Amino acid sequence: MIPREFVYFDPDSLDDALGLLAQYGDDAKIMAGGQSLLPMMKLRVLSPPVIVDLWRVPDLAYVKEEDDVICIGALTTHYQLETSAVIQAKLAPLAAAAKVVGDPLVRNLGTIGGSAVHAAHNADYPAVLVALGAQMVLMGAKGKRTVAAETFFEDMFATVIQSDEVLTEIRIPAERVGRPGVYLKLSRRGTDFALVGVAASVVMAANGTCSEASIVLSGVGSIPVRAAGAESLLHGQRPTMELIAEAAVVAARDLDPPADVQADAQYRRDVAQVFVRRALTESCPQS
Amino acid sequence: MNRIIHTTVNGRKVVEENVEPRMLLVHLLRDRLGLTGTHVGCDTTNCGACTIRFNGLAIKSCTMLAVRSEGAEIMTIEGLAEDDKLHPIQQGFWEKHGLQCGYCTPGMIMSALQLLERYPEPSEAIVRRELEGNLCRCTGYQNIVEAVLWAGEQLKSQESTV
Repeated sequence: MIPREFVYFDPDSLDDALGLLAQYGDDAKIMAGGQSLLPMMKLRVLSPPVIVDLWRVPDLAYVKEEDDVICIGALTTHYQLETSAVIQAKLAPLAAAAKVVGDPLVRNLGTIGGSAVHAAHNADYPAVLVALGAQMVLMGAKGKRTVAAETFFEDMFATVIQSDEVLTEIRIPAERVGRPGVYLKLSRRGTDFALVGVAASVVMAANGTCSEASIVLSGVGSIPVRAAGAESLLHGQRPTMELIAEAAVVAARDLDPPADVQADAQYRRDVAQVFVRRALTESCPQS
Repeated sequence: MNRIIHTTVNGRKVVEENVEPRMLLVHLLRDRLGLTGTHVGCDTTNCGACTIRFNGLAIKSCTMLAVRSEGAEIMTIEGLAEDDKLHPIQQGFWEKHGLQCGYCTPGMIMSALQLLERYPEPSEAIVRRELEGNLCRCTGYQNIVEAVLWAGEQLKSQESTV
């Protein structure tokens, strides 16, 4: 169908956009790439009275390195991330996720910021952002604030963002930059959301042990789920095949995944176990 | 709240008045400009029958607001052939029987245009991956893949004769 009528603004500055959000409050919805929002509006699942479209706002799509921190503009598209030399070289899990969001056409327009704020439980970025310890930079009426990805996602389609705020930037801290890691995703058809997605990022010590493993799953809860039990199993240990297999078992056992039309809970657990094992095998050198 | 849109479609400057913000780009192209080669297939942003070229990128025109076409350069399937000369991708769909009902075909071709720009010598796997946004119910994709590979060869040999 077509969307319901709405009042439309496409401001050409972030300040103007924030002014509009302050003015219209809960009636206003930000449009970034529109690749999640417009389909919902066309189905009339969502009919915001006011749309504040950011397409004219400059300087919100970029990948920058600032003192070993990687800063990503919220309007950077999936294609831009996928093809960014910096992201490919230094944030392997993020490049991997950018490559599998939707399809090549959607990836030309969809943005990392839009995806993060949309916060679908089976989207790809949220798990990766939590695994990478990302910081989410929000601008609002009261100024700027930064929220850790870990606390940013509150529920399915719900984040801590307030109605007067815009996500402007995502920052990946230096500790996670350049670390080995992957994002693996199972979906029934190539362009589906994740049935199960696994984001892994590891820090290896010089002696071949794993100082720290960050394993976060998508599609198995209403928000990204950290496999804390599996992580602590690996902490300080040599990541042998046996240990990885054990960590994968623990990760799956700790899950309480939903059942839906795509898969039942046990299938998701089974897939999670396989994918956690594969993710760790790919991420940990010489396992 | 209706707007006047100034855009360029298939090389021609276009001015459209009275464009509602909620009008989708695919409807501007089809209903206002009569460019019905771009198709509405699914209504759920899955099928890609609506694929066009927008500022150099292949996009689903059913999932973009018409008002965003202000100042944009748009090419639809109608803009691909030069007078009576088919573009090599169109020729490929002819040579390799890459269509049956033809409904997905304009979208496939506009997607393939981007594919061959990004991957001038694609493998079959890359062709299949890069066409994931375009669904076909008739062909089983085999001849579509052949058509795109054929077109890639044509474009490559055209370049080397320049």
